[in-house]
Amino acid sequence: MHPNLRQLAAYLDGALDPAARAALRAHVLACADCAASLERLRADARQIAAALSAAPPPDVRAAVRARLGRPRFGAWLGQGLALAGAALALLLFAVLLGAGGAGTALRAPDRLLISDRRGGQLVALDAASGAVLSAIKLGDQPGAIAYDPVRGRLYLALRQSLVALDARSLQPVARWLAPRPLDAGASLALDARRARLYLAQPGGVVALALDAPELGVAARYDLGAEVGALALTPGGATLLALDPRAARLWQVDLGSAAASSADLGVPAPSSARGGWLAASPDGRAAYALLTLADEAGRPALWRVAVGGPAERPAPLAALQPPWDLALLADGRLAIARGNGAVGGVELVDPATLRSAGLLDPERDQHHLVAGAGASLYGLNFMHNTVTRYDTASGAVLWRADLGAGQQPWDAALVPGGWRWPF
Amino acid sequence: MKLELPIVSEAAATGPERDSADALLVARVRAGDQGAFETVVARYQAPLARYLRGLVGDPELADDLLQDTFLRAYRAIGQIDDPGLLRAWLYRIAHNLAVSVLRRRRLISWLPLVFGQHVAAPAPDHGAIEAARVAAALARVPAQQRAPLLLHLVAGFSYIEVAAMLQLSEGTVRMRISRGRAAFRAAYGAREEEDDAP
Repeated sequence: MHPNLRQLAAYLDGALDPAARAALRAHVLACADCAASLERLRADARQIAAALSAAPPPDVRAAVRARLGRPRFGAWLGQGLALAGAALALLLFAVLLGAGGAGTALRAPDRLLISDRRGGQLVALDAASGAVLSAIKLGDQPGAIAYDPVRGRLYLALRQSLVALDARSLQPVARWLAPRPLDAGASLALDARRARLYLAQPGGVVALALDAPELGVAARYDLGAEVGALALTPGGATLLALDPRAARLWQVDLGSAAASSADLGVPAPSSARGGWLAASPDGRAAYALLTLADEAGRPALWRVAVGGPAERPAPLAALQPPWDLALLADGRLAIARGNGAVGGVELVDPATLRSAGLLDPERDQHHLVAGAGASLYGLNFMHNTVTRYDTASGAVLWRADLGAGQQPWDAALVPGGWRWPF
Repeated sequence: MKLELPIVSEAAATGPERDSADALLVARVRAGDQGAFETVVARYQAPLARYLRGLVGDPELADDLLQDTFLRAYRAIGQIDDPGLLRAWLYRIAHNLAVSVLRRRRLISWLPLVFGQHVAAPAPDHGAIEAARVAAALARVPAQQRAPLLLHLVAGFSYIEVAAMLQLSEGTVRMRISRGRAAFRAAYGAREEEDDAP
């Protein structure tokens, strides 16, 4: 007996139970008529999209502008161009200044390499002063970035590939084409010693082998999860993967490839939920930060024992929304806070998970990069600034405004070294 | 006839996510940058128009709703806690406005006639005729199936995202989309047979 249209459509949308699905699949494989019906249903989706795109799209900008009773949009353009021009002049000046020093033996500065998502480039700042040292155009939107001290490389996630760059010249040396687009919010986890780079892909995590001439997949960890944040325990024994939608923390023992997960006990799945991870310095615990963690939509912070269960969550202080979590060199946690205007960097005691201070509350921050000692870098991808903090004193050491058209998204610290004049 | 589509809570559209361009735009609009809001309009007017035209069937009404969507968005943009979810938030606003209008005008009972008016005098080119056929078949899909069908097939939202948007379970969304597909195919196939008849 042939399946009807509803059954075929339900098969397409995964609305059948497993037994019915298997039976229908077997039938369709053997029945040309039903296979053709299924193909027509698939084609209908394309037909509908094409038909709705056939009419020219409306342009309601003028009507909306008039109804808002505002002056013409676009007055900002002149200001934007002026700012961009100033930024370009500053950049050229910095580059020329850098070139002038090429004939002198000096110590190359520590650099903060920033993926500029909107500008499609990689920007190098002097980590000591915040001055722009150089910038290279990538021709793509960069996302997460990691520095590999063993190979002297940077790994940079683009929209659908991962590229390895020589950390000194910033020239590409290898590339991996991802089968699916890389999520802008997904992080990288690097185990330089074992030559593995972990990144989230649909359904789980892939590990890329870094010592082969071309980057390639060394292992896949199919978790059945939508992984957003990744972290490795310091020894590289355990990979931590957070699925914010399901509020579930996965742990993969990289020796045995055995995976287990801890339910963080958040009431309902939500694709709007954000989450970040950090591993404790002793490798015994993971810290997971989730937004929309309770019925009231508040964020919370968990400590989860590696190989063990999650503790009860600690509600966060009532500050601006969180955007990132980082582990400082002294073991404290830092949380980027921001509402688009104000926020700051909250410091959290890892033992009590309680707030231990708020830096720079008049500025919001979206991404944090911990440096050596007490240094911490805050990236603001709305206002295009990069800020260096001394978390011991709470001081802002410098703030660089990258200017309009640029968007600091992620960053990696690359230590300098002695550079010889040849 | 009662329209069963729910109004979706726009408050549910909050929560951090890193859609960089949208987050940046929202921040700039909040800071008073009018150009940024015009960019929002420019970026989303075509996809939202497709959704609204598909949902209400009347291009003129859809374009009015599109303007209303952006006006409401402009007024409420300060309330988005999660600027990265601007796209889903705009679709929610558009959906809710469309559902309100459909309810108010009881359009559901005469939607096929509205489609019929536009089908009656299509431009003579093949693309327009085909678009009219599709529109007519789409009009025969019940609205509560049409909305998730369009959000998934045309706007590209996943089943889970559609479920969150319409406050339904994922299973219900899958079922409604599949029934919408079947209803569309039945109506479109019947039309093909009529057209092919001597």
